Amino acid sequence: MVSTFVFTRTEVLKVDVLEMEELPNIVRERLKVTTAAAAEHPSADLLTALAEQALGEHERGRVLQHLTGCRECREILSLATAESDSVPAPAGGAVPAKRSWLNFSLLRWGTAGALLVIVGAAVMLRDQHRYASTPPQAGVTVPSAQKPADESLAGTETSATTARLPATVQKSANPATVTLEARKLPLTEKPSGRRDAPPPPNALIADAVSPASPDKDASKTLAPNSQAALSSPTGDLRAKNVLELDQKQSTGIAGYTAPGPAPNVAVVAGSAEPTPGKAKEETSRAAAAKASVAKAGAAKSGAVVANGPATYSDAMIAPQQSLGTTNETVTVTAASPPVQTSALASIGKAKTNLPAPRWTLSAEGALERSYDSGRTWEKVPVSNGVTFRAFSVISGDLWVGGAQGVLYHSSDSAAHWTQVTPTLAGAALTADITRIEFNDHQHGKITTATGETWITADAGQTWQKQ
Amino acid sequence: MSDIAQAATPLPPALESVALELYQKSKAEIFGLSQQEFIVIVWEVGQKYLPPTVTPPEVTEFYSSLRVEELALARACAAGNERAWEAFLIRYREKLYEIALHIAREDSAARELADSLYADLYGLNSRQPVRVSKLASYTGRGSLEGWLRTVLAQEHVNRYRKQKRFVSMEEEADEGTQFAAPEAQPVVAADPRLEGATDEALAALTSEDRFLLSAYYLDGRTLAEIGRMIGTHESTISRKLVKISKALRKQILAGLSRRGMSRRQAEEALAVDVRDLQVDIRSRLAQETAPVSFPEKKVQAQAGDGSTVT
Repeated sequence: MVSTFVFTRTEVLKVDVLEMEELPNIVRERLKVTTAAAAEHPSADLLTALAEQALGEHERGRVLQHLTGCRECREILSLATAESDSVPAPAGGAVPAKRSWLNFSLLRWGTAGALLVIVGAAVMLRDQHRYASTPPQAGVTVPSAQKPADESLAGTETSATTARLPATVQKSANPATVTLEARKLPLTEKPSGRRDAPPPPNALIADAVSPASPDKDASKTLAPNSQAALSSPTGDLRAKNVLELDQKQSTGIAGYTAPGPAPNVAVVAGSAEPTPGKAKEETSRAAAAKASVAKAGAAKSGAVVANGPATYSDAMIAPQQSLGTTNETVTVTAASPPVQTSALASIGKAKTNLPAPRWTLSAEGALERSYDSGRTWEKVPVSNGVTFRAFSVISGDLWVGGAQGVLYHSSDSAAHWTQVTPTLAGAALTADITRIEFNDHQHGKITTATGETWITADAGQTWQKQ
Repeated sequence: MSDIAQAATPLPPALESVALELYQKSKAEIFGLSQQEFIVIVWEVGQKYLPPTVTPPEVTEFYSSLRVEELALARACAAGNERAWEAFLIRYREKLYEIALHIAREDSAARELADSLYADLYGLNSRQPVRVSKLASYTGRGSLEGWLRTVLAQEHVNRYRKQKRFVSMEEEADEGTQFAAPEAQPVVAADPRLEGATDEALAALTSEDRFLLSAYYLDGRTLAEIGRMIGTHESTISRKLVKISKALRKQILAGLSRRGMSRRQAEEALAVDVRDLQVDIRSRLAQETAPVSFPEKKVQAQAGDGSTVT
């Protein structure tokens, strides 16, 4: 068994099984003969309590003694404890079966699940940001000389961060340097396969920058004739940094001719519903950016176009470069703490910290909810004095019904309730509701104690009766 | 309902101290059970299971470990409280059919099994003049759902036994032997010293150790199945079985040594016996090739050529 320490757990079990096969058969035979079962079989209560580890040591020994000699009771206990989907929730003082939380399969699936949630959240936020962007005027481009460094840097980011930040910022060879580059490019010349919506001519929204070190500077290359705004896409979770470049020439990006006069550069740092702690970092970063942009105002400015993916393909870059447009850059120096990563982490945490609740109806017919896998239940207020007998839950969409046809609906996880009275040709549902089945948010079926079946295909707006 | 007259019996102080807490926790009032009625029920449970020599802290711990809410629901149902039955059906109606299907593995048999249990729960099968619900026998030691599972399993086994009486010998031969098939004649060890040493080693084991050996080696249960039966993780069962089998062999060898055998003779005695029994297992396996009613039941044994036969 010493060698099994280097094996996986499954292999250990296999080794154990092989070793256990060597039990001398005389033991099997004498086991049948020497262990006589007590005459009285243990009650269903005791067998259940044994399986749920709710017996005292003495009682457990007695029941096990009987089971050793009684094949029938072993058969019954095995049938009763056969693997099933539903597991009774522990209650009272009974001790549930002890299971180690630190087992391999749990960690494996837990890690996979956590990654899935993070990637999902990142993709969702990315989509939100994309749809929030206003119609395009210019795209993000990367100079060919700068591209290899960009790509190598992109590889150093975590996948979540990359997805979260749809490349509004280009990083240069210096990890702390971020370059926002603008390029004059008519809409018709943009690569058709590109999914990211470019920013408007005078309000370019870029994601917050996440350089490697807060002590280093971030340089942003801005195209002229435009206003640039750096902001975070999710105002409720991250503070917004808005960088506005007051343009002197209002001809738009398409009318850009380089080099132009130095524009007035203004930086406005604002925050919308800031997250405590993170917001302070964002605000201070924005202030630093303001100062540095003001410094950069003396230099040439460029139109900011920042909405592309973090890594760029040659196919995307080539047609833009073939236009022969000229780049002008303004370097924006900003203190840059690693806010993005932490903000993302907080987003993921906020989403994953709230587990999906379990719902049940109490003995007295009240709706109850549990956030700890059924260990504790809290009553969910729906309506006073109503005894509920059935409910249906589909991802935050709850239907609960009970005596005398009382039916309530909540589409926000029981935060607000609306009473629904199924009616057909003037006749309302008044019988006791015994069963509610919804296949999705729209289609559902209600069964009453009198055998009636009411069906809706529009989330309870209209009903049909069977 | 419990005999109220019994309430006149003075309750043990340990129960009195937690009576109000248990009553409030049970929510028995919702189902029309007074505190006195409920405490009598709890007291009866204590009378049934608590040994005479038990300390007050142990009594308190026992009562606190009861699933009083489910106990109140079950007993109120047994007393015919409509509200309790509503609550019971909301909680367990669907589950009962699911469990029955899981046990019977066939829809019509599952419906029949669940209906039969309902008849018991309603007291329709009671032979007494007054209907007595089976729920009156629930004592709250384990969960009500677990109790229903066990009762369904018992009912399933009983129904099988009843059916088996009317099965012809040909059908029985076709179906094979199930549920405690007739035990083969115990193999008599060539040397009575081996038998004595083995019995001695087995007697030294705890009841749990013997149960593990029986479940694994006699019934052919998997580690996971045994783990669920006694609420222990399968890896723990695996470790224990390895430890027990090694210790047993060691004890038997030591016992044989005490009975005058040399080490080599003792090991040979064990080895000879194993070879004899392998032949016996092979013959038994030949009888059990017909389909069995419980597919999860696997019998593993070492064939004569050393390969594993399932």
